[in-house]
Formats: sequence, structure tokens, C-alpha cells
Amino acid sequence: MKALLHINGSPEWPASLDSAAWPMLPVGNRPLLEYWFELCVELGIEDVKIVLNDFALEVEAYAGEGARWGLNISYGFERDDAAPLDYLRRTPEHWEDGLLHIRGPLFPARTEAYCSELVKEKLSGAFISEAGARLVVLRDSAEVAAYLKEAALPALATESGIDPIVMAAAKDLFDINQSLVMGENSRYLTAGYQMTADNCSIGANTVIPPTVKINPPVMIGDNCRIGEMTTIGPGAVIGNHVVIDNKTTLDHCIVLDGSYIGQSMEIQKKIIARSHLYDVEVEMGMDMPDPWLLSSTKQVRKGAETARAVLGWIYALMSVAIMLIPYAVLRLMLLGNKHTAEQFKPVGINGKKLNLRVIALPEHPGRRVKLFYRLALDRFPYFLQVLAGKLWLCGHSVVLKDESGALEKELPIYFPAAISYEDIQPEASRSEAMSRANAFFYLESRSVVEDLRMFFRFLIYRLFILWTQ
Amino acid sequence: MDIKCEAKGNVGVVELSGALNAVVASQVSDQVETWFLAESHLVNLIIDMAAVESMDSSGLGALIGIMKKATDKSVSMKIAALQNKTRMVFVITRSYKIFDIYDTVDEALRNC
Repeated sequence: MKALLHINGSPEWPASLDSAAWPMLPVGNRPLLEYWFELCVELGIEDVKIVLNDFALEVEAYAGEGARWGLNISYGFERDDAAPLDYLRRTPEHWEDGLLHIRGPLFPARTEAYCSELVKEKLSGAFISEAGARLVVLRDSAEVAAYLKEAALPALATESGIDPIVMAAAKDLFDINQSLVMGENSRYLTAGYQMTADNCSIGANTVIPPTVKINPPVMIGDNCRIGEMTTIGPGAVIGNHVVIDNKTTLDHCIVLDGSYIGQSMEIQKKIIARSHLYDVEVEMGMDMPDPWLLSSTKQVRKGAETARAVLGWIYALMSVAIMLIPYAVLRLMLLGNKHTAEQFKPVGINGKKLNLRVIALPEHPGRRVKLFYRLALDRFPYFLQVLAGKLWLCGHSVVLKDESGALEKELPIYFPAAISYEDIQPEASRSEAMSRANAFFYLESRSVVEDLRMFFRFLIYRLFILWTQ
Repeated sequence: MDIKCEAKGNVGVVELSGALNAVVASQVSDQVETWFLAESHLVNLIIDMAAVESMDSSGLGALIGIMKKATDKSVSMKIAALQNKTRMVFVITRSYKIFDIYDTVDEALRNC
């Protein structure tokens, strides 16, 4: 048996989620496409043909050649307006051994009767919706021939444990996700995605401070950052690389990968797709491109790296101009008052060795040292290095390379910078594990907006928070 | 952004139209505050948002600023006729808890 997965055609509703690539929309924090692959595996299918048109890049980047699922995936292209069976009719002999044909945004939901053996033996027949979405399982050449002639086929045998649900609107996506997270269809949460006994699923490298309240059931993906005093759940499905700022409440909602949610927000019965918000109750989507409310944590433009460098340089220049006189005066006063300037030689951009002389922070800092640090004047030499092109303004901590070097080697790209996440965290919450999590998080979340946020939070932390906690 | 200010007895009605965002936020708050401070007889202020197509956090900040000034002068401020998009900003930021929000201007006038 072979599988033909038709994902050409663009239903209108994913546009309300600002996402044309509907096969990649998350169901229980996994792309819909992955459920199709699982069905192929359960039916013992190895050869899978994916027919696509738009969003080929996203699908191919995710599925590849299918080795992850033990499948042999190949790709074909077809126009969106082609009839559902046109592609099959090109080479009818190819499908003679049997066919699994899935087309359109359709979720192969499992019923209580589901077991993989039952699916393998009994799943057959055709489910075709009015809009043309279909799940058809044909076991022999006669059935395939009848299907190609558009003859009537028996209905899909739902006693096999598969009962397809067509997603005709964003609300259907929301309902399916809620059904999964609330445990109504617990059979999905097995392979690769387990719910623990407390109905919480939290991904790798996700940081949740102790002040966060989690009301199960919830699903949180990988590489997420949850702010202090946030309340999450019940019924929250949060994707990967999501940042939720302080004091925000989320329940009965879906947050797609790479979304940022601002401070003190209340997200209920909504789908958040980066800067896009979909209200499930009024079934309406809208753009809200505001970096303080909703935005993307991911880099979206090719020129973003250059923009980061330029913006960093401008901010460093402004900082140097403002700090020059206070730095000169306070440094002289401190050096004349038995404070010492220590030599520090971190590694900068492209492995360039830097030579920094920084005022050491004594164990019991006096008023002048505190003022020096509150005004962030200790960063003055770093900002000069940013102007010289040897450091980024915001990025990874320069001590990463100095201490062990191990983490820096693991990072695919290293951004030694004047300011890092470590600088905006209270000393008590700093640790090697946290540095590691932050370093990998920054690789994914780096953007002009994220750098701006980090820069201003650093200044606020130094001015108002340092030594007050 | 168009701003029309009109006094109906002791009620001031401010009709906003267009996008209430960072570009116009300070202009809106300055203009509205200047107007209702000059109209010293006003006891109530209604912001008619029927023609506001979109609003961001700066726009919300402008409204909060106006409300603060109004409260300082013992003027009661009400928001009326929110479109779905702008209503959503009030919902997700929880600011509906601090504003008096009415479905229509008439309803807001009845409650003055």
C-alpha cells in the first residue's frame, strides 16, 4: 500500500491565523501533518507521496525524506485548481497495491475503540466531506480502479478506531486542541508527547519561575519563557519558543510557536499566532502588531541580523556619549579611593581577543560603587568594544567562553555581547543551567525588538532593581 | 486621526476616528485634555470610539492618561461604541476593568 497526501489548495480560514501553511498548524503541539504520517505508519505504509503547491518550503523542511517516521517521502506538485483524482489518474498502476489518500485539512481522530492493530487490519472505505476533504483507504486494485472512476465506495469503517474530523474553521482547530489538552482524547498523547499523571506537559529548555501558577491540564512546548506571577491553564496549549511576560493569565487558549505575549494580559478562548489574535467566541481574527502586546519571538526578515548590528551600534554610541563624563569622573574617584581596575580578556566577535579594564565590584560596595553600577558605567568599556565592532550590544554573555568553553562550543552561533539575559536576572536565579537555557533561547529569539527589550530591561534593572531585592 | 469635541450640557463627547496608535497617541491625549480642561463646566466625558478602526498599547496609554487627568478634575470618563478590534485590546489587556464601557454613545449619555 502507498499513501498520497494532498496538501495543495489553500482553505481560507488559516489566513485568520496568519498562517497559510495549514498542514503545519498545531494539534496538541504537533503539526497536523505528523498525525497523517502516524496513520501511514499504522497502516504499514512506507512509500508516501506528498503533493503540494504553496508552502512547499515549510512542509519539506519539516518532513524531509521521512526518516524520522521510517517513511520514504517523495514530493510532487499540482495546481490548486486540479481535481482531487487528477494526480492519481496520471499513473494509476502506481497505486494498484492499495492506497491511503488524504486531502484537505482533516484530522484523523481516534475513537475509544482505537488500537493500532485494528487500524492496520480494518481501516478501509472512504470518508469524503462536502468540501472535498477526504480520507480514503483502499486495500486492493479493484477498489482503486473504482475510486479512480469515481464509483461509490463503502463508508470509512469507523469501528477501526479512526473517525475523521474536517477542520472547516479556526474554531475547529481550537476545539480539537481543547479536546486533546482536556484529556478527552488521551490516546493522542502517547507517542512523543506524554501527559504525566498531573496532566501537565512541559517541554525541554522551558523556564518557569516559582511564582508561576499552573492549573492543569496544560501543554507547554520547548524553549518557552514564562514570566513571573503568570497563571497558566486550564486548557492552555502553548507551542515552542513562546515568551509570556509577567502577570499574564492564559486559559482555554492556543498559543502558536514563536509568539510573544505582553505583560498583565488576559488571554481566554483565543488563538494567538504571533502578532495575530483569533477570538473563538466571535470567530474573528485580527492583526495586533504591537511589540508590547503581541508579537513574534522569531526573526522574520533576512536583513534582521544587519538591522540588529546597526541598531546595537547606534545605541552603544548614544550610551557612550551619555556615559562619557559620569564614567570619567566616577572612575577617577573610585581608583583614587583604593578600588582597582581588573584586566578582563574575553573573546569577542570572530574570536578577537578583547582587553577590558573593569572596576571590580567589592563584596560590600559603598555608595559610589553602587552609583557606578546603577548607572551601568561598568559597561562603558563594553560599549566601546561594540563601537569597535568587536562585540554585539545584546546577545550571549562574554564569560561563556571564559569559564568552561563547553557551552560556547555547543552553540551553533555565538554572539558575544555587552548585555545578555544574565544581566537582567537577579543574582539568586543565575546558574549554569540558566545560562545554558538562556543562550539557546537567544539563538531562536534574537531580533531587533528582542534586543531593544533586553537593552531597556537592563537599564531598568540597574536603575531600580539592583540591590533593592 | 480626526478628533471632534462637542459639549452637550455638562457632558463632553469626543468623537475619534481612524487608527489610535503610537503615531497619534500624544496628539490625541494633548488635544482632548486641553479641550476638557478649558471646558470647566464639564462633569462627564464620553469618548466615542465607533470610528476607531484599530488601537495599540500607545493608544490605550493615551486613553488612560486622559482618564487620569479627568479623574483629577472630578470628571467621569466613559468609553462608548467599541468596534470588535478595539474591544479586543481592552479585553486582552484587562483594561475593561478600569474603564466604564458602553455599547453606544446614547447608553453612555443615559448613564451620565
